[in-house]
Amino acid sequence: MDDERDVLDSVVMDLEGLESLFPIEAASSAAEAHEILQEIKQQGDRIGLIICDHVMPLKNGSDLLIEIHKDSENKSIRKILLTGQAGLTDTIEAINKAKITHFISKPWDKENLLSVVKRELSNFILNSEMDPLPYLSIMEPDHINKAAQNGLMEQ
Amino acid sequence: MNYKASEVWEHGNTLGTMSWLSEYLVKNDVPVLEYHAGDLILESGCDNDALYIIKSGTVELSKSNKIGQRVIIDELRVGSFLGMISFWTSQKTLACSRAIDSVTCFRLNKKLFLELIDQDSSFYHAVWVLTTESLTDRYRNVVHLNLDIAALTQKLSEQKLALQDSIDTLQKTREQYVSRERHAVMGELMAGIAHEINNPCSSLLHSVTALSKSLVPENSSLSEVWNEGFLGDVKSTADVRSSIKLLESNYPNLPRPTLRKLASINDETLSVLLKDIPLGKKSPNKLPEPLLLKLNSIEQAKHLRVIEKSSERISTIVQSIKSYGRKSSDNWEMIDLRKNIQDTLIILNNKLKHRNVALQLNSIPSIRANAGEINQILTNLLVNALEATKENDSILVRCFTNNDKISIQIEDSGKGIAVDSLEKIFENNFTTKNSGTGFGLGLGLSLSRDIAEKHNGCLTASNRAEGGASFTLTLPVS
Repeated sequence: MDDERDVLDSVVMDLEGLESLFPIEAASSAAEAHEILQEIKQQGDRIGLIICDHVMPLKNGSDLLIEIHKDSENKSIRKILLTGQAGLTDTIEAINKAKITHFISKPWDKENLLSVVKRELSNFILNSEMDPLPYLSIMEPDHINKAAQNGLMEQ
Repeated sequence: MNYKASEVWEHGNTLGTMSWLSEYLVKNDVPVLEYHAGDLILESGCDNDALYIIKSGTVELSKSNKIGQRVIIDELRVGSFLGMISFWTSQKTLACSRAIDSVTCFRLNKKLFLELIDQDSSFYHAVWVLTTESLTDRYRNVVHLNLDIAALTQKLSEQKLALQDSIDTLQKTREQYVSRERHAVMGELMAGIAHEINNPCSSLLHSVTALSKSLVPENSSLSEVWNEGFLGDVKSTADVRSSIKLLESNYPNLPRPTLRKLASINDETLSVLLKDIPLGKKSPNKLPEPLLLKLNSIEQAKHLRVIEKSSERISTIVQSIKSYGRKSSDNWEMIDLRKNIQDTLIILNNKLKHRNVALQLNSIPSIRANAGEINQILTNLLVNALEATKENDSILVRCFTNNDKISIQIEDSGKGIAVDSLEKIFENNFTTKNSGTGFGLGLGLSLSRDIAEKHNGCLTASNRAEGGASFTLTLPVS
């Protein structure tokens, strides 16, 4: 989510390689983000990761993530704050109250963004006790090992 | 020879009494001491058992104060007594007596004095008259001195108040100077940085313009879609999402990134592009090569447009920073205040984007003013409005002409100003903010009003009927 359309489109474009496994939805406002969350849940799908800009009109990113995190259904969602400038107070709030799992500062590097997103999604898969088999292509060796140790893999 | 005090009383003649006494003392062999100008007669703080009576000349009484300065207490002449207090009370001498010119004194020690008192009532009377006279004189002096001291104290405290005022004014001027200087330095720094960014930004804009001309495909069907990408409207994220859903059901085999790219193309162009693609289960999992080519062309054009728009945006911001920070020193020129408002809004955009800012900028004539200083006022007022409001609250900025005056009004929807503070807020060091919260020096409004007055204008505050504060800067049309 980002209020600046160009930034939003760039992030989506950087991540489109993952879409065969994880469809991406883009929102340009907090209200739209809530709508999308609702829609996805109604379809019976799960949300693995939210990437959110920090400085946005009307509501800043960490506040939105905190709001989302309050809903117990959303606790397992991994959350990344993509930010050009978040102060220390905002950052602390976001970590404590929204359990932000990663910060990425603008301008971001595509490869770095991709690897962070893959790692976060792998963590989501492992924590959610889903069958990890379809997602092995994005996992790093230590995640695969962990999945194997958990005995979740059939083979 | 007899002496009657009652006669002297009637005539009030000290000199007469003294001349009788002189004669009497000489006759009784009382020693006469002679001093030259500057000679010490009695030191202060010493034992003394004699009474000195001045026969001729002038004696100065003095005493050292706590910090060692010699203070003159009195000048004594013929007929006055020296060592009177120590003689009567047997305490140490109080003051120091020194001859100013040639002085002669009778010196009566206690023994001699008592003998003479016993021996002759005339002597007793004469001493009584002279002692009373001397003490009355000294007492009169003390009264006058007390009056003088009271007057001096009064004057001193007035001077002290005036001095305190001067110090306050000086302090205020100094703080304002520092604040103004800081604003000027920051402005210059910003203008410098803006200038550095401006050059690469100009090159960027220039190159994008050149590229956007040369990259237009020659093939007419491609150039059409190129223009769609370069000039077409940007669909809202919500529209893109609903398009994706529609496309997904029509072409279930196409990958999502492709669907998203298709979804952001406008519906008319899209229906032309997709007219030959089979729907439903027969839909391909990959678009045919010519269509992919067109899609790529659109994407390229879009990227180019993003570069162009972004460089234009950088350029606008940089221009605003330059004109905002420019000439913060004493540079007066004809300015359009609306430009200053716009520049200041862009500078504060980062903070203001969390507020609902409404503009009503009516046409106003240019006026002669110091742009840097006007920006400082606008910045102060906007920062105050920002800090008085919460997210999503509204701030209204408007300007209008009013007879031969221009007014800029900045209104917020915050808590407003306590009625008894409406004037106080313009005083130096008035602040409602805790120290350490960035801007709150308590100088902003006082400085802003000074600047307004320097421009022959005024800055006033009021509360809006519907809540919130309103500040009005009024400047004359020169």
